[in-house]
Amino acid sequence: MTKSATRVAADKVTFTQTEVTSAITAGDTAARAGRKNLILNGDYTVWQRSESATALTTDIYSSVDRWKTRVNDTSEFTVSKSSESPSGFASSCKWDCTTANASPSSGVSIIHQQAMEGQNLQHLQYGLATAKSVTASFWVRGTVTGVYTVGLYSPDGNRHIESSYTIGSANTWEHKTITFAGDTGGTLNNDTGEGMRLWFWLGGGSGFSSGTQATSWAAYSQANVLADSQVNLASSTSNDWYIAGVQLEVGSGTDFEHRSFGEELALCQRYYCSSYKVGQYAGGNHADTCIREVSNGYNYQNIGNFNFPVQMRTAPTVIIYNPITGTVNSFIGDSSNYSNAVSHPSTNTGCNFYTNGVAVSQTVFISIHATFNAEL
Amino acid sequence: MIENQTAWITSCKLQNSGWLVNGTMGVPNDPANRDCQDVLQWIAEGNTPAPQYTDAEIAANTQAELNATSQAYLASTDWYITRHAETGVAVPDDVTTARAAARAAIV
Repeated sequence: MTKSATRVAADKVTFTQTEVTSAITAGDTAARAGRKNLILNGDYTVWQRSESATALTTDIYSSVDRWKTRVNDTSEFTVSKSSESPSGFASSCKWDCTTANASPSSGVSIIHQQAMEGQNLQHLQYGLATAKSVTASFWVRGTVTGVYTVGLYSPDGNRHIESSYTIGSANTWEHKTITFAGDTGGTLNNDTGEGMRLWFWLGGGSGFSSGTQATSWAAYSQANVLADSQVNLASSTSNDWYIAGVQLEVGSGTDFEHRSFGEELALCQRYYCSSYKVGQYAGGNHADTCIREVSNGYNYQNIGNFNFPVQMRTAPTVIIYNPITGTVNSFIGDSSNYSNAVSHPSTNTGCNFYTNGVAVSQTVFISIHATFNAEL
Repeated sequence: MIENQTAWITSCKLQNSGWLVNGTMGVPNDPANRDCQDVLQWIAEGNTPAPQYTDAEIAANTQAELNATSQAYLASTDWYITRHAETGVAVPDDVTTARAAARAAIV
């Protein structure tokens, strides 16, 4: 049945079960459209922190929203937004090795990952006989051909499943689709904590490949994460790896779910937001968008309040910046810079700021910027 | 999968009900917050957060509060001075005394 064949006469308001089933199973993937992608910012359009982070050597959210960079190695990488992208996508995420380590020690891990909130995964029914399979699909491109690893890790039950995929042609976008079985023995807590992560392994020491890769759900074992032939992206500073269009959905793989930028931004702001506008980054000279209050002139100690654009996952970690100099913990009183700005214990809906031991004694505008991090 | 949980913490002091970590990050005491989890682990490893205020900061905060109280009192009694200047009505002695004390208290 073609898509057009599912159209009905305008006066027809009642359908048989057969007609409905036929329409849904006719291969029209639009019938399964809607909020199907469990991954946020899978098209790498939202970069609130920075569009490029250099010398990454640790576990950190430093650039692209919702994606954590994990480099537990002596090697270093730059992770940046790239316009090099497959057809239908405006951007991708680029990993560029800037300091190589061709002989990683056993505990080395180099990972690009996104953690998902447990309460958003309850429909997967993990732990039940009816546990749902999920399919990861993504575009990938690299200078190094060979075997890479993508997998799922669920911290609530400390369980994992992995799959290898191969980049067959250097510097060529390839689309990968990998289905993971449902975890009938797993646990997914119904809470705001991490329920599961999708991780892409770009390298790892022998401690992660000394066993047999867990291609079925199993209790987490470090030795069973990687295939023996896993590529080491850190082997040379000539190495790059790009990823775009990441989707994780229940059932088999379907076309990528494109969401509007505003919608994607709002979804990401549950985990990170700031007083800066999109395109401005923490620590820059951006007095036009700051949090501003008027001092009453009597050694005023309140700096201002900020209501988060969406309710955040948890009370966030707060970093305060001077709107012009970018100095941390500093604020502006008219044209003067003051130190010792403090965030009051915040909730997941907003935050208050005040000064610690330094007060503004004039009737002036006082202003700050701040970032709020509630990532998993 | 064990992640590096506490190595990134180089300093930590109390800040209201949470902590100021590495001199820059205001971490709330909310166990759902990832950084809070790391701080709690850091404490469990035997570390102790520094006090929220140094002696100098306590003194500065005390003085700031005194300055604010004193300036507010002066502002609220300025009308006595204006009335005296415009009409000749005397400023009450207790007000004059209190205003002098307020001025002296401001640093």
